Amino acid sequence: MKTAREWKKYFPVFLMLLLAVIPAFVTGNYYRTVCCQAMLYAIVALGLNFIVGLSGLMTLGTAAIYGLGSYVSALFCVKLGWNPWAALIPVLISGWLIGKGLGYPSLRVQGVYLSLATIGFNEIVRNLLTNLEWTGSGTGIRNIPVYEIGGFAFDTQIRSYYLIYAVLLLFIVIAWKIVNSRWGRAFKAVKDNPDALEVCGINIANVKITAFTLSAIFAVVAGAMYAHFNRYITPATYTTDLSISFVVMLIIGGLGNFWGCIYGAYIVAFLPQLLRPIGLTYKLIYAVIIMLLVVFFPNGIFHDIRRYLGLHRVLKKGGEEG
Amino acid sequence: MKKKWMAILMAAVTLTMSACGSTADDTSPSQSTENTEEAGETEEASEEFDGEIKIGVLTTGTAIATYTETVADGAELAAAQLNEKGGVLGKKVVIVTSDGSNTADETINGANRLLEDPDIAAVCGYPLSTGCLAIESLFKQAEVPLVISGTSVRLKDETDNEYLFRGRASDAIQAKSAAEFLAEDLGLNETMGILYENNDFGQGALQVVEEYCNEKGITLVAEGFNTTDTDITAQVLKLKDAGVQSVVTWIAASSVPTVASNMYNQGLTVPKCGPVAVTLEENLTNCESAWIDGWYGVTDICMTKDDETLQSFISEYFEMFGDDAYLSNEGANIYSHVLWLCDAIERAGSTDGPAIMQAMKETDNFPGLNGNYKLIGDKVDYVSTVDIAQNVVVDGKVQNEYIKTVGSAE
Repeated sequence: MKTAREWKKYFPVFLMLLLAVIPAFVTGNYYRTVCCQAMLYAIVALGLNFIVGLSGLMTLGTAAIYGLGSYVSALFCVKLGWNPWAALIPVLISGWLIGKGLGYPSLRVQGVYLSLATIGFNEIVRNLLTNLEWTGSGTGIRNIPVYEIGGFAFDTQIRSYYLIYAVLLLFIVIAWKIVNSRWGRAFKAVKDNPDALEVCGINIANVKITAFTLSAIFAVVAGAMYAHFNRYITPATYTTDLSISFVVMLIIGGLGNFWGCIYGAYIVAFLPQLLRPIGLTYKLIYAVIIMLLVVFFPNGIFHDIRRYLGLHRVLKKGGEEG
Repeated sequence: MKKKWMAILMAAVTLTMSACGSTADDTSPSQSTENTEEAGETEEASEEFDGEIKIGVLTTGTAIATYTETVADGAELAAAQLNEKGGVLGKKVVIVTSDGSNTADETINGANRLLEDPDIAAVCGYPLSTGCLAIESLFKQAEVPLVISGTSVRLKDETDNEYLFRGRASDAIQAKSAAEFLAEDLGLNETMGILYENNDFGQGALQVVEEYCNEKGITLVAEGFNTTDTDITAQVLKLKDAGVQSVVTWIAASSVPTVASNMYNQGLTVPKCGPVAVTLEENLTNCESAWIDGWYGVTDICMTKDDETLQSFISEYFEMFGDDAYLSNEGANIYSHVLWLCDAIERAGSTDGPAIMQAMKETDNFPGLNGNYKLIGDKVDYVSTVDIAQNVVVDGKVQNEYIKTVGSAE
């Protein structure tokens, strides 16, 4: 008989299998589109987890990074005729540069000041995208090509779903490796005890910049996928509201909780859609629910529910027995 | 312990709300209250009709709440009138609304929600050009006609979609009409200013006015600002210093008070002409009368126009929704769009998407409240006329005064 903790080990497999079979049960384009949006959000949230969840640095400029990923890929494909896969190279380079660029201010400012600085970054990017003619100005970029592999185009919702699913799977593996590596432990130490980190001879500046860089790379790749999935992008998408939503995903999932990033992303993507039938007040109700979730489940919904119901003791006991 | 109870309470509230919601489609507030009252009537009515024809209305939800209200009501009035006359093809016309909000993702989700319903024959309503650009291909793929209210020229120039129809004058016509009115009707044809928002709406107008001024040899001074700006003193002073004789103010509803107050405070008193936003009651109530007195606006329909059909529509609208209901040109547009779609369904003799599309393409002077509908050029545009209205202060309250109807096909 397997113990609760042993079953818990299989959770990632169950989760990914569940995501893999969703399209079999969700047949319409509506929910498939929302599923794709949720998976893209999950990739961003996994990256943001390095900064906000593990390192404890609050950044509110993620939507701008996500947007830059979309625009770099779209511009290279639409204006220069690059293949979307080849465009991933400039996308990754832009992510690396943005991460480095944003990481440096984090060495000088902290807390609310860092949040304000990143909000400023978000607004600068959005305004530039809105005002520059070569980015399509306010109306954005249309007719962005889809990804193709050997003539097989990812041009339907179901095909896009599995492409994004594969990318999400890849990023889950990468993020898992990072979280459980020397880097991951250093990120956590930045939040928990930076002094001890310095005493150990680890350069905090490097750790912070690495966290920002990795996070930016996750966000730009998700942004590029979004551009080729939607085939149309406009600056109005990449607002500070979206940046806040990314942080909300982490909080709902539990700050620093690896799998929480994924279900947090799904909750933020799906909850408003499930509330739609209520009518015009659904956004108000959505906001109230999110607020209550943040207040009453500060460690993440499933973590806290499990704790309130005493399941954590069972799991712990199971673990000890196991 | 308290937290535990709170968690249980929250779960219960969420489940209850979801359960309540699952029985209804997205509806406007007025519709929601009527749902239960009308349940009995619907059963009776369904016996009179041979099924239903659903028309989807994609709104901006709470993102632009006043728009949503008048659009949902305008569509409901059209459906009620059609049903009173026996419906369309013997079927009852039913309006299904969905919230497309004001971001591309939400608009796509709202549109997909409508397209999920196989009984939706056609969709109308969405006013924001960026949203229209984001969703038009979904309708082409689904072969469902889409009547849009977005006015960007890109919707015509950059799309190849025979299921896309525009039931109002595009920016090319609207902005050109504004410039033409200032230069030709008012005779201010030496130096013109344009104050525009840095988005698709404003930049589209800038392009059109620039072309017009170049053609007529008028010097144009252009100043842009961002939608969220609350102070545009610098732009206004630049226009004033350049000695402009008139200003085309191409701004969205949310910017009307900012622009109007800044222009008034800086003493830029030359004649101004803007889009429909500068004539709408909801925007005018946020401004002091002096700020906007005398402004001209290009609108789809000037509600004070002495037109029997229009005035009859207005009376019936308030009779149906009460004197407190909000009516704007958008409500009148959607009313016309639903009638247009149903006329096409009747002519097509079917609710099949391609058949409706073909019938709509063959529209020949369908009488809408905002003009006669007929294909302009080779695609998308079907309305070529606009009204020019002027804001006048009567008893301390700003009202629209009808000036004239203008417009050109190209």
